[in-house]
Amino acid sequence: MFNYDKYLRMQRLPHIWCSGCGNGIISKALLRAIEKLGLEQDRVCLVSGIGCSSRLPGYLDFNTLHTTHGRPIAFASGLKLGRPDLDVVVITGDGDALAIGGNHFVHAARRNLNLTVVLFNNGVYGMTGGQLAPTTPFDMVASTAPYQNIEQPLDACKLATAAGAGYVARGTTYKSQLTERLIIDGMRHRGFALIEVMTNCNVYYGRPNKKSTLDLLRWEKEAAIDHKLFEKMDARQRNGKFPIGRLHQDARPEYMELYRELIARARQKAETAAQKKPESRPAAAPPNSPRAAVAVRLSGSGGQGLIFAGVVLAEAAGVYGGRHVVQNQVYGPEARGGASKSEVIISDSEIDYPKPTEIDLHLALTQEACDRYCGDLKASGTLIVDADNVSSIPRGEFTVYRLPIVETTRKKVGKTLVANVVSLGAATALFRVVSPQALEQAVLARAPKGTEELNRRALAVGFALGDSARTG
Amino acid sequence: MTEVTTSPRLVQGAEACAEGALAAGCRFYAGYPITPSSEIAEAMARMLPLEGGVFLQVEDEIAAIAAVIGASLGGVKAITATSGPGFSLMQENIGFAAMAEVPSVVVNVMRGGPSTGQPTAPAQADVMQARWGTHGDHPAIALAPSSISEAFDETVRAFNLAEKYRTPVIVLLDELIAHMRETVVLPDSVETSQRVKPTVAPEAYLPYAAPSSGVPPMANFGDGYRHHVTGLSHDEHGFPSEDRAVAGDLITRLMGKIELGREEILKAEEFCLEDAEIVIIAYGCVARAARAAVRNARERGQRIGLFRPITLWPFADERIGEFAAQRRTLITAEMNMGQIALEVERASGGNCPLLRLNRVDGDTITPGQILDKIAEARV
Ligand SMILES: Cc1ncc(C[n+]2csc(CCOP(=O)(O)OP(=O)(O)O)c2C)c(N)n1
Repeated sequence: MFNYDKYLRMQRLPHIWCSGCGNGIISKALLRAIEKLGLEQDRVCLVSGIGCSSRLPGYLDFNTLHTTHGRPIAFASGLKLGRPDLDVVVITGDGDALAIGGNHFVHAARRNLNLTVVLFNNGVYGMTGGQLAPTTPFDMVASTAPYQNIEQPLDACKLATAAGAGYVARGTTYKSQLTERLIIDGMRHRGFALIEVMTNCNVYYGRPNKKSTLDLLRWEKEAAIDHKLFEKMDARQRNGKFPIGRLHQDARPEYMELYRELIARARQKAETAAQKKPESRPAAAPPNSPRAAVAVRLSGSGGQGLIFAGVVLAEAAGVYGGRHVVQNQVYGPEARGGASKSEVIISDSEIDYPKPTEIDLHLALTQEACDRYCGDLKASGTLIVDADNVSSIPRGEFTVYRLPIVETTRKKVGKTLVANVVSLGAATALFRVVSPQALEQAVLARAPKGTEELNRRALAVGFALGDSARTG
Repeated sequence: MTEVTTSPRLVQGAEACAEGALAAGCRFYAGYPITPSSEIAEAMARMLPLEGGVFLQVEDEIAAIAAVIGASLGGVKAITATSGPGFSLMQENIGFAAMAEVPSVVVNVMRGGPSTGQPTAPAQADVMQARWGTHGDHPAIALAPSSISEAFDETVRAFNLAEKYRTPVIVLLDELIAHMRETVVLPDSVETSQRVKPTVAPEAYLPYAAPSSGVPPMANFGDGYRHHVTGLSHDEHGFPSEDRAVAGDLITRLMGKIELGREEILKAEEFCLEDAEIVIIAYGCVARAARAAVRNARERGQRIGLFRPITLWPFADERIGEFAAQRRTLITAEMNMGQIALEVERASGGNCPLLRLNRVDGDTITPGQILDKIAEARV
């Protein structure tokens, strides 16, 4: 005789289940499986949701977690990923796993994380008093289906298989030895394992449908067909029957195995990057007499790299120039086309309000950006526009420079991709918000590998363009 | 390997938050993408594997917070980040973490609501949800950074408070702070707190029996202290109980442990307050507009000061009460219809006039708007 006592929290008994309930049979099969697998009690975690079946972990002496309705698989996923060394088993009901928790069920199966899910399917909501479940058979009565169920029940095993579970099996309380073997088998499987166990709720499913515990057990006995036999049956023969046994198993890699490979890949990548790119140390900030804060706005169309330019300018001023900076940018749909902008505030003292209230220097590469973002340019400010793309200049007292930025980039650098860097060079030559050296350091530190020369050339072209405009 | 260095760097708020989490010892992230918080997920996806930690993109925010709680029960510090709609979805399980006393950190980058609202626009409309989002009486800690370095520091502090008080901690980040960049020098290492482990033998362990601090020692799953964790009302053993006294004591203790820690949890910045007749109360990015306004008003000889709660929950009742007793006018400025204003009203006990500045159009409150409000207070 198997002695269950060492696994029971005796002080918690008697349990809340009604007499005749099938839950005890599954619980015993689970304990025998754990014993036969030789699992250490301290390393086993049982995670359940809410429902009659989900009360099981409270009675068993393991690490036990009774979560919220429908969510045990999600809690268990976190626990297992955080502690792959623990054996994590999910105890769940059909409502818990397939209705409110259906999404987690599908995605955990898809991920193939090494969890074992024991699903107690009684075809009804037991805990809350016999309401319709997603597994209630067609035509049956439930407290919320008093005129009979008109929905098709969900097949948990088919769902799990379709979603990608590595191991899928079905047992019954009537065949408790089989159920025990399936749980052992499922726990040995490396990957997501579902063991659905058909059980009965004689009180809330049986009574309204005029079926006794015996009727329900008889149904389990007669309707459950070994899956190999079931395979050979035709549609008519299958009517009212369901397959039991190991329904699906594959050796798809388990999630944590893949994750460990991912870690190795990430580290490898980081190492290569660190080797190839010597860190450019920021130069000590040159001593400066305090200057007034400056607000710069770089604008154009999404994709012209102005957000990148804003970041580079901010780094030139903040990291390589030792000043306080705040950098902001448009966010959302605008950043993917249409007009785009990036703003940088540069100051010798702490910057309070992180958005510019007035702009000192505005660069606009397109007409739309110029029209849209020019409103708050100071009278004493400077507007730099691309000569070929901005024809109408907003009225104002500010100083205007029309520079053929894009065209010069095309001619002298070859790639209009770096018009943003040419812009920065020109703006810096005209309006010394940062030193050319700091700007160059910042550009090179941010430039993708292999584009350093291109960017250096773009900067030089930009400086020259700005200088000629200033002197010319 | 953490990207934490001692030289100045230009860092985005979302990144600072992620780096703070790593520095605090976080090794687990679960989340579901949502604007404007996705940059935190992206930073974690990049950095966590380098630390041997786990990043998991889950199917929804309900799973995110559930997985965070699961990982934490295994002894792994864990975080999730989201925004309005996702924060709404997390509420049931945030309550679970409060009830079962599982250290966990949730970042909510606030956006305009209700519903899908304004996904890319800043707002501060989830302040009350951070306090009372989940059902039932429960304790709450919520922190509101207002700079990039604070996004780092307060995320570290969120973990430390979560561990120390065994409770979920919420970081309320403004969209503006999450997306802007500032140069910061982030520390190489930070002070971290760990949950207190039981010292008794496993047979003697009562997982929910608390010492006078109100915070019970916590064994991780797998430590050899087999115990039960439930969201049901439970006794000292952690088992469900329908005993009225047990239920009452539990809720009283859960609320009480945060009250006991109040002094330590509360954090605020006081700016130009000594002689201030008018006190502006603002947090997050609005406090920066308020700072600019205070400087401006001071230059013109006006006695204005700023009180900036960094800890929003628990609320700084006492300090507000003192201001109300001693100062001429209190002004609250916030990007919602007046969520902290109501707390200020409560804490000030009717002892001084209160003015409110609220903005809910998806843009930030400007220094100019605050100056206008100050002018109103001075007539
Ligand atoms: C969010 C939420 N919704 C609803 C409930 C109420 N509820 C508790 S158990 C349950 C159904 C349980 O049915 P099942 O999962 O099949 O388990 P059983 O009780 O039949 O074992 C419901 C609807 C809840 N606890 N939480």
